[in-house]
Amino acid sequence: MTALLSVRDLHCSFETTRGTVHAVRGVSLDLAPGETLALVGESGCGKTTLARCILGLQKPDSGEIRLGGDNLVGLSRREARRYRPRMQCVFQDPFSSLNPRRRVEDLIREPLDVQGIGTPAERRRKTSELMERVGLRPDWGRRFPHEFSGGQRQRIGIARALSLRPSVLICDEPVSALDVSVQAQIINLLWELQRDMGLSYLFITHDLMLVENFADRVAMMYQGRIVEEGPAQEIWRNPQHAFTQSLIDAIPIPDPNVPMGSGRAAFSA
Amino acid sequence: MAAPLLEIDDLRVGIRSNAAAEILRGVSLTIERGETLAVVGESGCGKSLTSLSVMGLLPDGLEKRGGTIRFEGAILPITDNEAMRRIRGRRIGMVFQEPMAALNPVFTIGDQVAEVILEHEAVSRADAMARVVDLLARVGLPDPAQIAREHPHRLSGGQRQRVVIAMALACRPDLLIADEPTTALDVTVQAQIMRLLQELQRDLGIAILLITHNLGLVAQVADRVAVMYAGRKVEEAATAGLFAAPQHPYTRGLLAATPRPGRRRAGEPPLTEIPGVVPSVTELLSGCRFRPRCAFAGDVCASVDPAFGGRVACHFPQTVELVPGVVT
Repeated sequence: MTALLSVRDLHCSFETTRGTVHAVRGVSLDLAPGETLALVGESGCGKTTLARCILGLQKPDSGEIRLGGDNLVGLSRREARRYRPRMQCVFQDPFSSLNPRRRVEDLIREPLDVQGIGTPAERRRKTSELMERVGLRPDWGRRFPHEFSGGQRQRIGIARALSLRPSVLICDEPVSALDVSVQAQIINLLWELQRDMGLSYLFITHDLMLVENFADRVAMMYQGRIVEEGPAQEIWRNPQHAFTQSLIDAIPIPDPNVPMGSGRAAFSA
Repeated sequence: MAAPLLEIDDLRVGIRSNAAAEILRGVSLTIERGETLAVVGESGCGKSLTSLSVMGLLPDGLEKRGGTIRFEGAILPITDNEAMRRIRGRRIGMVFQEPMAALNPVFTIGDQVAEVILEHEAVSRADAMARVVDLLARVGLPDPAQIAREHPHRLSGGQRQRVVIAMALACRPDLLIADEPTTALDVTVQAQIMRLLQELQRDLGIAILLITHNLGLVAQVADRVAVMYAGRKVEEAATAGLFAAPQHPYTRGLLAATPRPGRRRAGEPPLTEIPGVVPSVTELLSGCRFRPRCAFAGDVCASVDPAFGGRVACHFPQTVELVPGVVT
């Protein structure tokens, strides 16, 4: 497998008033082109810190982050900016990640403006195309973020992330704040975009049941380390690490015939 | 026959400044002693507002437009705050999503749990404190005497929710309203808290009104389920029957959209969507509010809002059983 994104022995720690917190303790990951890798863990396991390191928002202590072969760790801000178009992110709360005073078309077009791609007319046309692609009506472009529902705001966030034609999307809990019917719409949209555009997703979540339905591979993160990794359905059916086992046993299965604490058996039910 | 523990009949709640906007459009629910009724639905369906109404905690700007709520057969004076204060905490306990919001950061855990007892019962402070330590032990907190002396910030999220449960149970209520009690918690902690609630229910015989969006929790703990959509109850059934053969198209859509292990098919979209969006409260829509999203809607659905009849509020209830993993 030729990895598109490759993380090697990454460490990241913080100084706090109570001493050093070692949030990421030697993580290695590979993301192949067109693949969805889910990074699953509970709060405080270090998954968001890992994502921030990959996005260049947090400086790791040591290790490598390679995108298409080039190491991003240690690059200056100016050098790092060249790689931005290839790796974009979608956040959990689409409202707090969208500037409330800007119109939706401006928000979606902004990355194109910043990177100076195309003429103004081309950027506007590209913006309408993106809106249509993610299921938003292009004539809604003059509206502001607060005029949209949570699911529509997440579509705006996705359109904005796609504007620079990235090959990797880092999705940090993109559907955890959404209702289940809206979650299904957004997950299916991500699936379609991946099928049509060959995107790779690093999908960060606490929801192992969701990614069993959606991801190709799962990496289980616990106390700053990847403790188990494998195909999504294999992890569910046959978890090896005690943490994965206890997590699956704790997930309530939406089937009254599957008693609490026997989630692994649900697969064959 | 004795009256049900809680009986909500045709409850209507609207926005004070907008006579046309109704958020609860005639909700009826019944809870018997010792049972768990889950009320499920997505944001804005009115499930939390229903529970807030029972506690007499309607938010500012909303008004009760009609209906009655009876507790042990007697009408609950939900608009009389003084009268409700004597019932809340004593007869009806409450647990909310965010435990930190229910706890005061400047008082010790012991003081806060004792306050509930002292508010409702004529006992000495020392007696109340002794009961607090017992309660903290009962909800599974280690070293309860020490925890009683701590402030909330010293506890984890799961421990805080245990404290809130201890407060809710301090006066041995008959009904516990649990509104998304585990939504802010990690899934392993969620399982511990739900197990605790089930144990307490079995030992103390309390009824639980569980408000949640999590169909997994519903399947695991509820005796009966009421599904709400756009301010109405659209379906109600015993848990097993609801999951095996949901009749309302919205219930079917909700179950189909819910991830579950082993349902994935190569080359197909991972989840089953319900098309469209929930109508807003101010949107005027004739007939059934689910109609624009419904695959089974006919002409009558546009003109007549279906009444709730026994099991569903739908002109075209579906009767084919759901086969797990296959979407109909």
